[in-house]
Amino acid sequence: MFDCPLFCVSEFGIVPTLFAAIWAGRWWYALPLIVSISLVYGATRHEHLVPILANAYKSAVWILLFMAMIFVVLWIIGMGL
Amino acid sequence: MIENASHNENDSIEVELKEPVLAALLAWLLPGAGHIYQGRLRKGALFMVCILGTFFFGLILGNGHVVYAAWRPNDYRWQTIPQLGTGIVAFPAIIQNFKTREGGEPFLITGRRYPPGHAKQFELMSPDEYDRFEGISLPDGFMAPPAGELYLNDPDVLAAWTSESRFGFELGTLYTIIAGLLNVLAIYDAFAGPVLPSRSSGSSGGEDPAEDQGNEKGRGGKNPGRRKDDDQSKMDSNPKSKRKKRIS
Repeated sequence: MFDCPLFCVSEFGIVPTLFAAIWAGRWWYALPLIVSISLVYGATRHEHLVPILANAYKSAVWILLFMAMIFVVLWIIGMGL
Repeated sequence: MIENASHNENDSIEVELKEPVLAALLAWLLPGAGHIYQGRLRKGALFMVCILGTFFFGLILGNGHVVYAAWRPNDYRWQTIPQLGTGIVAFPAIIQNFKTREGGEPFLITGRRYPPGHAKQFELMSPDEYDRFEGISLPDGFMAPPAGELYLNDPDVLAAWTSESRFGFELGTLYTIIAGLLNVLAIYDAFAGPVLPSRSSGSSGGEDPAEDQGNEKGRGGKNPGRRKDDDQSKMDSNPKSKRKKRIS
C-alpha cells in the first residue's frame, strides 16, 4: 500500500507520488464530489431535470479537464525536483 | 418545480416560491426541505440526496470525527462554520461543544481512550476496561471535540484520530465542508429561484443546448428576443412578484 499522502514530495519527487495515488485508486474519491457539485450547481441554474442533467454533465467535464490540467502542471513541476 | 410550474401564454414558467424566507430557512435546516415545501419535489430530492450524501460520506470517511465544534488553543476548528451550512445534521457538533466545554462528558459516546501517561495513551480501549479507567479515560463522542489537552508537537486525541483515519480525516473534512457550501447554493435557489444563464451572452438558443430542450419552448419560438429582464419588469408590476419567479 501507499502510505505517502497524495501530494507529499518523496525523495523521488512529486511525480511518483501522483502516480502512486492514482494507482492506489484514491482519485476515485474525487468522483462523488464532482458528481454532487455538478448536479447541485446545475440545479441552481435550471428548473427542469433535463437541463439540470445537461448542465451537470458539462460542469463535470469541465472540472475533470481542469483537474487534468492541474495534474499536468504538477507533473511538469515535479520533473524539475 | 414542474409540479407547480405552469406555462403561461408566453411559454414561460412560473416557479411558486411561496414564502421565500421560510423556504430558505427550511432549506438550511434540512437540505431540500425548502424546495419540497415549495412543491419543487424533484429538485428537493436532488438537493437532499446530493448534499446529505456528500455530508455523510465525508463523516464516514473520517470515522465520525470530522464534524465537531471547538475554538481553543491548538484547535481553532474554522471548518465547523461551512459545515454548519448543512443544517440540522451538523447541530450535534454545537450541542457537544456546550456539553464538553466545562469538562463534561459528551453524549453518544462511541469509545474511550487510554489517558495520557499510560503505555497505550490515546489508543482505543476495550469496553472491558472502561470501569478500570473510570474518570480518567478520554471519551470519543459523536461529533464531539477531541477530549483532553491538544498539543502542537506531542501526541493527543486529535493526532490519534487523524492517524487512525489516515487520509480519510482530511478528505472527510473536505467532503463535509463542500456539503455545507453546496447547501448555501440550494438555500439561495429556494429563496430566489434558479439563476438562469443570461441569454444576452450567447447565441439565439443560448450557449447551453439543453436550455432549448427543457427551458423550453419560449426560447427559440415565439419570443426569441425576449430576455430575462423583460420578465423581471413584468414581475415587478405583479403584486405576487415576491412569491413567484417567472422563467422564460
